[in-house]
Amino acid sequence: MKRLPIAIWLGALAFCVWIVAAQTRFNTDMAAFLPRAATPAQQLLVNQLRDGVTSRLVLLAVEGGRAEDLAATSKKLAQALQASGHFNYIRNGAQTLTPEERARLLQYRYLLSPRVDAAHFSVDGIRQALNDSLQLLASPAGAMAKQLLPADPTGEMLTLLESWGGGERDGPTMQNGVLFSRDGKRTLLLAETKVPAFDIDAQQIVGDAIRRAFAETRAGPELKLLMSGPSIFAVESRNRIHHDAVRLSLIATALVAVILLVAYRSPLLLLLGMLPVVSGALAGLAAVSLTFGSVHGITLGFGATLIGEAVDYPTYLFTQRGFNETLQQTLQRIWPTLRLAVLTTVFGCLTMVLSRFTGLSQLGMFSLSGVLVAGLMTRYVIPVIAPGRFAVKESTAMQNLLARSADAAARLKWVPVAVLAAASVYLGAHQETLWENDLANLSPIPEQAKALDRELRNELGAPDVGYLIAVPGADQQAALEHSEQLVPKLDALVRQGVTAGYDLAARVAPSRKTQAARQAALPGPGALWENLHAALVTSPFKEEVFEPFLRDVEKSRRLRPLQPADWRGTPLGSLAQGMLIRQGTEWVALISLRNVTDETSLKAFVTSLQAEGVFLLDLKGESSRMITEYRNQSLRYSVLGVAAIIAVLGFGLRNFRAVFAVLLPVIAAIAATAAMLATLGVKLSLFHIVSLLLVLGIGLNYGLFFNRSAVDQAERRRALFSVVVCAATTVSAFGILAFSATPVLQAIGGTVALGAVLSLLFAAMWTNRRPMQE
Amino acid sequence: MTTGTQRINRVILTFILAALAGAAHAEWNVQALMMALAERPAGQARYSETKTSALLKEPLKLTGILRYREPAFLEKRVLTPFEESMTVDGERLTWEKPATKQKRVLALRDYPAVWAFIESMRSTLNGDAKMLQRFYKLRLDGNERQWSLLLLPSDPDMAQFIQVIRIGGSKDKILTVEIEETGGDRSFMTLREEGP
Repeated sequence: MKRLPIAIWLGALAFCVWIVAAQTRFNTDMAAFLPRAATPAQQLLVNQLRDGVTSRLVLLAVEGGRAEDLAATSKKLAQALQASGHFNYIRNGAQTLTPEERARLLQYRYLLSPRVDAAHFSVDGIRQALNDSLQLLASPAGAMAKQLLPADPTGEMLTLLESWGGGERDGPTMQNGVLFSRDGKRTLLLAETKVPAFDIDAQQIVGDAIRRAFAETRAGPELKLLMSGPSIFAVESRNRIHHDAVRLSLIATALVAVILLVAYRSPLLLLLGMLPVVSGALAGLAAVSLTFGSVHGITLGFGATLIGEAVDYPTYLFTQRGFNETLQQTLQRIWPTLRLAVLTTVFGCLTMVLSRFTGLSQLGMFSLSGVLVAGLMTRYVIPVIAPGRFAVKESTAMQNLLARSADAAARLKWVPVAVLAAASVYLGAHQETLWENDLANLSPIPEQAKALDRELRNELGAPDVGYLIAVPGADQQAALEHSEQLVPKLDALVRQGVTAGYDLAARVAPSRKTQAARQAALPGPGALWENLHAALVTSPFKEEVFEPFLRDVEKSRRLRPLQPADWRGTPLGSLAQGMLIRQGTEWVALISLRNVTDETSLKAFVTSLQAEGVFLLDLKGESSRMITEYRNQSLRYSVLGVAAIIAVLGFGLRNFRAVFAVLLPVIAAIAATAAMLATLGVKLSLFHIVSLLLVLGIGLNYGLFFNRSAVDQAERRRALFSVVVCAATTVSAFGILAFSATPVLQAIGGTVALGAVLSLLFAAMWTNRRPMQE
Repeated sequence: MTTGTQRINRVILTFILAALAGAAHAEWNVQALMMALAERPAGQARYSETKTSALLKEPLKLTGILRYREPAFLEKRVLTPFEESMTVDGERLTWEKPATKQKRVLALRDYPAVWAFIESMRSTLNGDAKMLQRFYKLRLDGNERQWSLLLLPSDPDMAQFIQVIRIGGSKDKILTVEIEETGGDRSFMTLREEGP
């Protein structure tokens, strides 16, 4: 009969290992942070962050050598990257457009040029065009324009090229045929990855490929490669967090092991003590994997934090064993309290499972199953597999010291109440400034790297999209047409100085309707020949040179309209396809704006189009709103969780005063921790909330064990010792994390360590018992 | 009576002048020319230009005004047979046609060939050897009084369109600019300096 729990445990463990190892997919997709019933703006935002025009861009720079070496490296590197197959395109030349793009623009010039209409090809239209061409021929651009003139006397190609030139924009210069920064010290490359930015594993491979290509192509060992961009950041953050977490966890584990060894004086117990939390983590992973299909990276990270409480369960068991007592006997005494400790956390997490945010819901599921399994393990498996009899040597001197301290603390019952009041007032007064709303500040990327990114972005003139206008349509063509209708109004905005310029997919892939209208405006071969010859009478141009023009116009009349997909693999392709997005059953054409200087007018303009379904996507504002919403929901569910915990406590303790005595210290500790962080200038984020949830879980347990009705003095002393050991392990493990350079780990570590210390002190102060020292 | 000594004096004078010219000639190189040109911070010249092209029935004749100013300003204003002005300042090229009130602003870096072309005049007028050498291999013939600077495009973008640019001048004055395009088209420009 005794073997049954072990058999169940081993069977379940094997099942969980199989699920986790063979069936579980881990992802890092931002969408997990999105509520299921998100607004169109939020869906678009996530779309843009995951896979938008700018998110796949990798900015590269090579520096530290002579200009010729830099240029040679740039050329070879671009070739190697192109050959690697990881990129849609690489741009390292000075020209805004690649040769492929120029060829495409030339071929489709009469379908793309907004100037094409019937008047454009009348005798007068052509005569005017020939005059312009003559001036162009005589100008410094003449030698270049001459090549195009016979095929394009109306100058459509030049008009198109010019519209991409962006004469007013700051950008890189060219040396030795490649892009250079203005100071000439860096050569610059821009590349668009094929894999989306959020696929961090794939981006890691791309990043490694870039570094390898650079190592193979650089002209000398003194040359240095600089990389930046959203995907580079994503990989770097993950590696940084990973590296920090692994290193600090090892130190923390060692420290906890030392503390527990001192407490247990048995390496075997130490090992046994780890079993519940490890089994719990596996069970949590398996449960999330089975219910959600995949596990989010954040669930794993935060979940591991949240089930930190489970490390304490065996400690409570081992350290409270009485003299000559079997573990079964100890359990009989403490199980009601331990059960309550487990159940409060389980019900606290249950509310999180119900959240609309997948991320939060997963986190709840992970913690719930992890803690539950760890609790069951401690109850049913550990007593069976632990050695029948062992002596935990009780250190009387230590227990005496603790008892004296506890007695002293018990006289300070008013302190937690006063602290709670003061902290609540402080938090209430600073409500507006408590929270961190800028996604960028949560990033573990050092300021130096962010500065480099800004620098490269500036030097490259790469888009840094802050605002997008979203124009909906029933299908792709409808969205294109709708966005085309806004062009005159956008031009007006540019003239008014509201924005420096705008970009939309219809510029490189006009709607079929527009392209067909332009084709219809092109005269037939006979009519065009007559008009041209009539215009040539008064012109110094020779008659026969314009044969290519007649031929190309005729070809253009029969061209299949240019599709957004035709631009695939070119920089303009990201405009044509990236700015035209399918959303549910609808399509949205995005209009990007450059350098918005008058936000009020822009918002008024978009509001005037509200009836047509047009809306403004403020990327920074929207992402702030999203974090706020996520956080507010976490808070709401935390409050619900506390309510569930109170219900469980009420049911378990059957005494309102006891519930109050257990809850008040930990609530005071949480409020005080939050207030102390705020006074230190720390802005609270989701990471702090998760940490405070853990504090709630472990702090409640301190209160529960402090207030457990004990038979004799020795038992109460053991309980006190046990809580102190638990607190010591928590504070040392999380205290180590507080030394991390990564904001996430630092926040979690500092918050939990501080919260645990305060919970211990406040719980001791509220132990409503007669003194331990007689 | 005086002719004998006068003749001797003239011969001596010629010798001295020749010697001086020889000494000057020894130091006459691209650097010296550029320094001489750079010493004029600003200037203005009338020009007339003849453009011969395979596309045209007959050569096109143009007249206008060139103005330049250090460090990077150049204006070429066409007066006949049509009106047009082209201004370059730094990286930006502004192109205006008064007749149609058209105005275009381009970034030179987007049109490397145009940029190289502009520098052949701007950098020469402003004596900016470094910028010239970025686009051309330079060769100087003749002497200070009558020099001829050959610009051979080193940039492949430019070499595609331009074979050679020949700038002729005397001391710190540019007198002619001759452009030979690939394919045989050419343009010949003569300049006449005016007071600033």
